[in-house]
Amino acid sequence: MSSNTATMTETETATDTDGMAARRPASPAYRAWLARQRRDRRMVLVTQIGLVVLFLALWELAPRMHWVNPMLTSYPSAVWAGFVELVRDGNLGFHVAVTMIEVVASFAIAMALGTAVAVALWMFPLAERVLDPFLVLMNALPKIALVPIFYIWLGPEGSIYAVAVAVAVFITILMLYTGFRQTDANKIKLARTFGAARRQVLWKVVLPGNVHTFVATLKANVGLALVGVIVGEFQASKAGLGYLIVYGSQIFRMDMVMATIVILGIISLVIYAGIQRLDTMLSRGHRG
Amino acid sequence: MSTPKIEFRHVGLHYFGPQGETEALRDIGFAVEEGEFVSIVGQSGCGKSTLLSLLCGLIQPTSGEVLIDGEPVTAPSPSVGFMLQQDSLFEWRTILENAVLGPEIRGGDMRAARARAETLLKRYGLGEFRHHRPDQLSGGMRQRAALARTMCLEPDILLLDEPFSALDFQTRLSIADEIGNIIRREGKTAILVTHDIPEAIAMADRVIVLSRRPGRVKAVHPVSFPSAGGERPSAFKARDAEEFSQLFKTVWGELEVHVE
Repeated sequence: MSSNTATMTETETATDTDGMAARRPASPAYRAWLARQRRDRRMVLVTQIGLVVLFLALWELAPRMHWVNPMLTSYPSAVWAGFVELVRDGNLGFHVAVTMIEVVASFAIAMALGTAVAVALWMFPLAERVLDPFLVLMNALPKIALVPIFYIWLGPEGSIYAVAVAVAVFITILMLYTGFRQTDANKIKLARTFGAARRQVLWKVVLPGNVHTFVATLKANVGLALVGVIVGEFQASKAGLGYLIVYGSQIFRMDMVMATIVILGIISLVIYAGIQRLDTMLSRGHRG
Repeated sequence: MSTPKIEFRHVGLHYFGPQGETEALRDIGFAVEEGEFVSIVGQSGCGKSTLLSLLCGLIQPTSGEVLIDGEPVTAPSPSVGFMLQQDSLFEWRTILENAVLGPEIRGGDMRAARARAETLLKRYGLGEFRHHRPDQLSGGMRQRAALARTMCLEPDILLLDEPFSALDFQTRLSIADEIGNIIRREGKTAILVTHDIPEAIAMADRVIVLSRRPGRVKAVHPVSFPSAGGERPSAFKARDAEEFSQLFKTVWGELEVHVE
């Protein structure tokens, strides 16, 4: 009898959390709260747009009023003209494509390599203990310092990928491995009571339990791969956005440099939005 | 003389760490018959959970032998089901997918396992929740889902490591009652480890009291309720029997609970 009662109350609680509240007609207080939320959201958006407009206006105004030297800062209308010129010359698309291919490729290589190493370290704890100080050292080392070496070893093309992968891979290993290590010990113990081998613990518990670690690593990596590629292009290349920036600065065309930087900003925004999308998709599939 | 289902023979266990050696268990010896329900009580840190890990084959004793059906335990066996303190349901799986984790790891006929899991979930009142995620369930329901996961491998021995301690008091009472009934009905051999004396008495046929570290068997009390009229009352009703409070006082005294 008593157990029956318990089942009843629990069933009710469970349906309640399914969102019964949403189906009830909204009270005036709730509607007022919703309106306040909407107003706040609008306020934030308007302020954000206002800030951008203010920044652009100041940037346009300051050089024109000769508060600052226009040779050094350029200004938005000149940047726009520079952008149009880059597009019309027909090679902006080409430069963007070159940089994008380099970013995506080195990002994928760093992710795959980093995941493989992190999994191997988790599978063989003794190897992890041996390699730990070296990994920490490699992670702390400014990889940019290796650019000249990569250039000599791998040539202009290869060195770009090498820098980008080097910048991203160590943090991938460390982030993923830390995530793996922090997997809920109770879940691992549970799998072991079912006789799971280490490999099974990896596939059934550690990897699925670390989807959020993967997404966090992806986010960190996109930015790092982009840094690596641009730095690599500074040193070596004859194409790509890094090249455009260096070239523009050498011929003192600040409008060209600024236009390229804006494009870079847009690219990172697009990639970031893509990963955000992936994140929502994964967590929806993950949590139901 | 028949072989007991479970037997500890002069079992000792030492833990090794950088700070030195810890003696967790000393000369543990007892036997559990088939179909018996035994509770082990002791204060935290007395090594009572370690006993279950030994029985499950997760660790090996430093000395002595742990036997199931007369055979030394060397590795986790499908005939032993372990219920842990946390339900540890995987939040990325549905309840049904969680329930078939054991067969999935053990390998075997997954279709049969799924059918078995569906039957168990239905029996435990979770039938309509089988495609829900764990975070949509209440604590008591989660613990019953964990029981279904354990039972899905059809073990004959159940090890319960304070499986109710994460629940609130009322849920705890009713779930303990329910799970106790299920285990008795299905005739499983069970060992419950707990520091909750009333729970230990209410659920078991025998209560074993462990001393402080190093854990030794300090006392063994058969639990019976003649006042309830011969038949073993449910865990819930047992708490009202007059023998209950008597035994509680005895065990309480033996545990040397000091507030420091």
